[in-house]
Amino acid sequence: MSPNEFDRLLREKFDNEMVTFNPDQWKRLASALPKEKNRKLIYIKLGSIAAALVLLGFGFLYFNDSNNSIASVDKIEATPKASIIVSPDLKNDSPIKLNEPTAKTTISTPLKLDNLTSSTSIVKKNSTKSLHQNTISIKSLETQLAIQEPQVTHGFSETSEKFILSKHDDVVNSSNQKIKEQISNSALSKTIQIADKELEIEDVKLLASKRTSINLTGGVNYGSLNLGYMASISAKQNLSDKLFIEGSIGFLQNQEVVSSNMSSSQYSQILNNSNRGRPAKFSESPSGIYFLQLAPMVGYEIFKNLSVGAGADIQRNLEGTIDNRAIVATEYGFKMIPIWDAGVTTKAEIGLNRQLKAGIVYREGLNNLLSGTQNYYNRRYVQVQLKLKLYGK
Amino acid sequence: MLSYSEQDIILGCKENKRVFQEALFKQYHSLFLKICARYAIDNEDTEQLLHDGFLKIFTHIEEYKFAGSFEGWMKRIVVNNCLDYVKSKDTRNALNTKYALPVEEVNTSFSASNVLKDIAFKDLLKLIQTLPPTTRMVFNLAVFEGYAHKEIASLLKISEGTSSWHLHEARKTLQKLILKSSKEVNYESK
Repeated sequence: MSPNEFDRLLREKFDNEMVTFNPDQWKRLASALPKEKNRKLIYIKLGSIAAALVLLGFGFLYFNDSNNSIASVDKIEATPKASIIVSPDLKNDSPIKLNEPTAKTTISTPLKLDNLTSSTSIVKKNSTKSLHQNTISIKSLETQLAIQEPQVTHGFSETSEKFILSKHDDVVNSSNQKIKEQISNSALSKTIQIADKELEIEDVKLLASKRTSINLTGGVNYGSLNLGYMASISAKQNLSDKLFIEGSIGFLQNQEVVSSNMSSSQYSQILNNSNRGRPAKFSESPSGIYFLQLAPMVGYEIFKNLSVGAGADIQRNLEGTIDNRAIVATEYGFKMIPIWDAGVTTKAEIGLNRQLKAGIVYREGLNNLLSGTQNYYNRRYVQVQLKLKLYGK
Repeated sequence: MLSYSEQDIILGCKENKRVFQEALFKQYHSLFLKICARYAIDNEDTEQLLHDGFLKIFTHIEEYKFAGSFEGWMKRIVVNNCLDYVKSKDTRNALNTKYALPVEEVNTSFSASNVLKDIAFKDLLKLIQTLPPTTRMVFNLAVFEGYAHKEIASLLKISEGTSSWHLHEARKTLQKLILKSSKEVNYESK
């Protein structure tokens, strides 16, 4: 018999033999396969993400209406090297009066602090001559216009109102556009798809307890101190399958701050009207305010790729000292940028893949609460982060 | 039971849907079980090889891009899994204690077709399972999987001549074993 014939007969023998299906074999195999996608669970997860996005949207709206908004460069140009001559005797001859047509100059022309004189009640809210009324934001101007519209004596001509309102609309539209772009461009929309896909692999228990990871994080702030950037390195330690602690040390920069520097004592003197007759001098304004950040946090993994957390946030102003600290002009008067800024943060984080995560952090400053005053500028912001895993599972 | 097209099954498996995975398993389990049986030491290992092979198919099915035969793609996964098994040190040790002892010279001018028809599938499988590991791998790859000696040599890191020798040895040994088995059956029946 030829080898080929022998081979053919063997193959036929095997081909003709049919092995009966064993359901137990399939059950065993099925149990080893990744779990089938649970539609209801996915909808709940997607719903949670959608709810988080809606909350974020409301957060932005709330944030934009915040009392903490500072006068932006568009609204007022404060000269960094300005000095204020504080005189208690200039109650009636201050050139800045909202009830006079000169108030227009606060909007259409830059406010020159060099030329400014005011009463000693410079930062008191109700003073008709206080400086802060000249530095009100467009929003409050709009409100003021709405209230004072019938009164021609305020000096806001119809033309200037239109100018202000159209400028305001531009700002609002621009802001809305930014939010839309952030939402559409952010990795969140993509994350929903990726998370949806990755959530299917639930059997793969990569999240063993007691594991540590080191991450590099970069972020952009959108907040009460305008735009800023952040870079940090963090360590995460799982306490259990779901619960973890995380600590980060980072560097923050806030840009385009309309502020000047003065000492804490000068600030107190202005605040308490105790510097009668003496000028409060502003030194050079910083181009940005830099912070060193330490942020411990406790977190919980709601789903495999979605975690939330809350924690403390301690930041040290790297440029500020007691003698030379940044002061920000707000619609509620001058506020000090904290040298040590204590705050709390909440965070939602979504895994884009095994190495990369996208997160949203909301920070609220606590300095006013802790000091029992309203002297500190509340550095409240939303931060969008991207986190890259450097080490660990 | 609903019947699905091959494309439906593949797409369903890519989406990790059980119904399509089960359909694929039912359709190919017999074919792959026989492949696994030719390489395994016993039934337990055969089932384990089948289990592992299908698991690899399902977890790597995303990599199948509809280029070439799907059955061929799956078969390669199953065969490679079996080869890894045979190559493993533990399996080799176990096989070395079981493979066929030298068979005494017998007259092989028998009617193979009749003997092969008579011999039970399980008995034939047992005879194949007694071949030495490398001989068995070469024989399976050449006769059942249709690999050329060049491919086998590359796969098992042996020369083509050695591959050819193993195949010749496998045929010769199997024929002797089949005949011996047949004689024993005939003797017992008398």
